[in-house]
Amino acid sequence: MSVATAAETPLLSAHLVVVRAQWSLDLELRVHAGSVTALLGPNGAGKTTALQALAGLRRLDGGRIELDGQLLDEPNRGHWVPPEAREVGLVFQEHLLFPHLSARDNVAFGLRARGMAKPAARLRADQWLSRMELAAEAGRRPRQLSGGQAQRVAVARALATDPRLLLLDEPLAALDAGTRMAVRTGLRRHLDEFGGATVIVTHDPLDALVLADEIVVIENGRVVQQGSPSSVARHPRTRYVAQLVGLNLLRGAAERGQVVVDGGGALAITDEHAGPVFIVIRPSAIAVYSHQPHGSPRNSWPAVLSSIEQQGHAVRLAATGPPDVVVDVTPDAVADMRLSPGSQVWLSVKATDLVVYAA
Amino acid sequence: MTTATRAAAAVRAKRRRQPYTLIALAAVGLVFLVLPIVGLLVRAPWRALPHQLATREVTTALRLSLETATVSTVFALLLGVPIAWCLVRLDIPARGLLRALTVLPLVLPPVAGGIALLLAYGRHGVAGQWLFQASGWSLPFTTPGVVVAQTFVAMPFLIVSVEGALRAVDPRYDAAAATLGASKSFTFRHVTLPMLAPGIAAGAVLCWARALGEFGATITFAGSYPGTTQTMPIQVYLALQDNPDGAIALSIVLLVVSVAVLAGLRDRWLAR
Repeated sequence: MSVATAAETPLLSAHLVVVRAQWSLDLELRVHAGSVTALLGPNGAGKTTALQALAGLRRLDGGRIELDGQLLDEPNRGHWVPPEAREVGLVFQEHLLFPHLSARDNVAFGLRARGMAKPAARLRADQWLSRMELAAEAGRRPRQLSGGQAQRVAVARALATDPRLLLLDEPLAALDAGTRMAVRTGLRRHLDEFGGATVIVTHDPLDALVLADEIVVIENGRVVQQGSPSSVARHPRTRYVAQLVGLNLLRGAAERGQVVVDGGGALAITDEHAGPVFIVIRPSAIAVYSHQPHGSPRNSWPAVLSSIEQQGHAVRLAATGPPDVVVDVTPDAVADMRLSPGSQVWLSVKATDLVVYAA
Repeated sequence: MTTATRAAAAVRAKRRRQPYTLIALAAVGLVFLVLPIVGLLVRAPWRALPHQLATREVTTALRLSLETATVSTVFALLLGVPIAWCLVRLDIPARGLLRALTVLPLVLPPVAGGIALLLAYGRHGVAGQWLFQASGWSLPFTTPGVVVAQTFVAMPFLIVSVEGALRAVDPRYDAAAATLGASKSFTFRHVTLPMLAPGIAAGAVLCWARALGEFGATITFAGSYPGTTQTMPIQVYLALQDNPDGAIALSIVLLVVSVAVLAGLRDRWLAR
């Protein structure tokens, strides 16, 4: 294979079809060498099933998986390569380091399983641990490691066998918020150095935005949106994606400077649009009043608060309109207006704060 | 009702709710369990003990018991660990029935077990007759027969213990090993077995203790020949007829072994 075709042909080319009684997965994936694709979706969307199929822990019912020119799974032709014969590394959510082995022997495990002699395998393992800044922890058992350290050992263990495809299943979900930030940043660096293809499964949009070059959003086993992190964040195409990135997403029909929102209500817009559109509203762009506001904002509507949640320094209100939106306000505003679930309020938003694009 | 009287009533109710009946029954049960051990220690002929234990019959029986119990435990490990693994990890039909069959000797009266062994492996037994026709040799009333009887009765203890330990091991460790390129047998040797080691050790100790104390199946299947099939428990039983002090002395030895076994399992059973 020449260098030119290697650059053009995806390293991983997969059409994953898994059929269950209640549910099915049908997903196309192409990942180039050195590139990271994130599978983003709610629980039960089929992300983990997709990873298991790629790793060989679950057989496909249809489609095919090809990695670096090697056919791994194609049920129609009766072809299947077992997990131990695939050049695929998998990092599990709960790291699953072998509890009876030291960090060093965990990393050396894959090399030992492939027949490398113990001293050589341990030497390689130590090199990997140094790269992960874990040289001092090489002799420790997994239970003596912090959550972040254990997860880095798990990444080293998967990379030590030199896989062509690296799979990460919610690698940061089991970590606390502070650790997650540090591990995420470190992981980004290691993924940049990794020459193979990477598929990362997550339900955390921040993981996807930071770690991935390409985001594939799946819901109910189907791709609902695909693109670069910035395009997905800026133009969410489903309510789920919008909520993930912390935005309100409304759908409606635009006509003569206003959008009639599906499900009720109408909003004035400044852009020229006609036909079906998406409207994105930042939660902090919406103002809350206890009485109908007079004067300037044209877009105001009555709503009932259904929930109030503290989120960092802001308080997020879920309001039932129509249209239904989430609103971020300060804790002071909640106290001043005595807001509680069930409160009757008026919401308003400036037309210039609406982002409108064709659906 | 005032607040004060209500509080007093609550205190009385709390006192009444103390489960005195349960505590009393538990105390009776404890005395019932401990008293025989106390009796054994009180009546033991401590001064004559070394003399009683130094006799030829005793040392022979003791050595035979230790040897056969150890060999039985090795066989139980060799066969029982795979049985436990299959019961937990294989998707087999009628798993419940298979498990019931493998642990049946646990509840079967050992004498009945001995009879069953005779009918299976005896000179005219279902399988034993082929062995006898082919080699002119049969298991009953031989030292290997003792091992067979002990293994039959004691192996279920090992199976149950290992099965419990295996159930506690997350099967995703196998998946992790597979994605790292490990074959099934490499995974079994380097992941499953080490993670099971405490469970296997506990099961082996239990199994060994049960084999050491085996009486009913052994005497039925292997008889009581000094030097070849007369194990410690049988020796104790026979000694009781004509030399009660000797029987007590032998029981003390078995008690010491049992305490040692408990000490070996202390992390599992004696912790809190």
